[in-house]
Amino acid sequence: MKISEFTIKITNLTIGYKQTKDRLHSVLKNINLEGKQGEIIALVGANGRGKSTLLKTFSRLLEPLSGKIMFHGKLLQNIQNKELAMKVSFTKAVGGELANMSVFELVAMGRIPYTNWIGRLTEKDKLIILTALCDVGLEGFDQRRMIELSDGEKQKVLIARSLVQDTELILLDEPTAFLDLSNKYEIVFLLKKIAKEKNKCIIFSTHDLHIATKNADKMWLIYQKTILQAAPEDLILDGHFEKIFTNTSLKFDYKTGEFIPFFVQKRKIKLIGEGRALLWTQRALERAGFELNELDKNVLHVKKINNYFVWELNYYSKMYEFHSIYELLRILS
Amino acid sequence: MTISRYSIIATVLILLLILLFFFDIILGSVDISFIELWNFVQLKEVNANTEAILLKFRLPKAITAIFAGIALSVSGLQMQTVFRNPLAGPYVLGISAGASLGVALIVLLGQQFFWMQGTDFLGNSLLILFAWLGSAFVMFIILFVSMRVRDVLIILILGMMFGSGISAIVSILQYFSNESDLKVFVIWTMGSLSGITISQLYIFIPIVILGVFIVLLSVKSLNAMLLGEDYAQTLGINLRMWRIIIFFSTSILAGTVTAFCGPIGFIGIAVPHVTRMLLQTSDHRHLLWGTSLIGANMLLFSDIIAQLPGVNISLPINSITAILGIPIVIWIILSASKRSSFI
Repeated sequence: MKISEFTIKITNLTIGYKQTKDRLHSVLKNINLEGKQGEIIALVGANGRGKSTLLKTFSRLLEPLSGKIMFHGKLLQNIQNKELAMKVSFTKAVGGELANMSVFELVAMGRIPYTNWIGRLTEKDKLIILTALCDVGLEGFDQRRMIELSDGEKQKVLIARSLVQDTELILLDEPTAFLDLSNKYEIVFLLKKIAKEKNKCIIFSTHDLHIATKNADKMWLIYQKTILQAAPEDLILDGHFEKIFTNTSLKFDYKTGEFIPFFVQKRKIKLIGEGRALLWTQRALERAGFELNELDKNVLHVKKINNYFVWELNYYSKMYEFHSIYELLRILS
Repeated sequence: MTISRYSIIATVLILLLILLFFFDIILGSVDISFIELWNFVQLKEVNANTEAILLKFRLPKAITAIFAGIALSVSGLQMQTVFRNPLAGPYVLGISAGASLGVALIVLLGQQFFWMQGTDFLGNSLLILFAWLGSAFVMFIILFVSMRVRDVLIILILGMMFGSGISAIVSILQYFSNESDLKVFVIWTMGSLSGITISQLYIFIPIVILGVFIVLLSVKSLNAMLLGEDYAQTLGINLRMWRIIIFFSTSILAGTVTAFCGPIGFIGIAVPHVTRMLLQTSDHRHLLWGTSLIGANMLLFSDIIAQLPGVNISLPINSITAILGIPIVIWIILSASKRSSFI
């Protein structure tokens, strides 16, 4: 009989910091969430709104101010240190402070809850470590030093470390921060694969909304001092997604699922052309704060002449010709 | 990293230790010939003078060097890991300041309150006792603080502030003391390996062994702390408990060495770095034996230099360890700028 189908279930949780014994500083309130095995959950919210605080509370680095956190029906505060280390792993954002150790040594840290008093690795432990390195795509990296690795590789090593810890719940604080776009995708795909194939519940905080909306099964959105839980698409449809940026210069674009810069006054222009050149010119114009309008007097025409792109602009009755988007934007802005 | 590489390094270090031990015994203001030493080892009749030198001075001193080297290096290793700071050493908690307060009290104020004369104190058990009490006093404060304070950086700052405060008190005591007492105290601060008698070794050695044994028990927690405290805690390590245990073993190791030999600097900072570079690992299971062996070698070597073979004078050991240790520390800082992390 299953104790609880939820790996983690949170009811009426308030998190924050104890400033003194009586003074509490709550960061988030009335949190009700749950996570299942095989699920990948993106924790999203602006900086300083409590993403790290929440993850630290789950891994018991911080005490909850009130409310309940249950792991398979067992209360968090009733779990022994060692048992908890076998249930929950926590990975911080990659910093420059990673110790000067080999990849193998770092991943081996994850076996600490399982090794003997002096931390001797058995053959089985070594096999688990090497397998985890294969799983994250770092086969043959075991003797490399951490300092030789790129940020993306370091992140993968940290993920391997949490894999060998062999916990049902894997928490990661901003695993995609400081990575280039392809690495961001790679890391999230990897997490998704781990969640599905190894049947783990993965919760990661991120600022990469686009990647998160496309890959997370569920989104935990920090909104007005609490957390909303839904599929990313639900949050977009009911408009909550848009609201987290209401006070900023960003605006949510419902077509692309991206946040774009919000210009109060948009200049208008008519764009003519075709194919890729049209698409990218449009992007460039949007970036410069233009809105496309079929009726506008100002007309930009993209042509392909002798395999080169040429932009002809009729702007307030003056004619211009450009050979790159860069030149074009310099005049327009 | 294979097991065989470690055993080669260990073997070389042990052979070097034997060699340095041997040279430390025969070299000095009076050189002892190899034949005499061999006769002594075989318990044959040797020159009474030689026997006295060996038994009363050279042997206790060389043995002290080995165990003091181990104690200082191992406690330095622990402090660097716990504070994740490459410049941390055995005295970072203020242990030596505590010991110096004890010594200052007995040496500088001793005449006023006790019956003793100032000059013949070195090697005196009372001096050792007071130095030990002084470092124990600091240890209890550090343990008390670490039971309450969560942030290890605050403990580091408190330890250093406390050490500076005690040093200030010691300065006041120095200011008001007479010349001969002051000289005794200043000589104590320069460190000496020759103050220990054979009978005192029976106290010194077991304490060092006990301290190192506690460090051995802390190896797994030290490893877990390498990535920072959050990771250590989420790996199931009881951080607060192990921190107290580690401070305790550091205090008794560094405190005991300081009590018997005075403050000996730089060994505790430099040796762990040398060991990490030589063994190419950050695993404390290996760093522990590595720092022990290298620390013993290094202090023996310092002592050979300090006693200036062939010359009738010897230099203070603390100056020699500093002169040897400072270039190592500088070299580490410079070469570490190529790496991202020291520890």
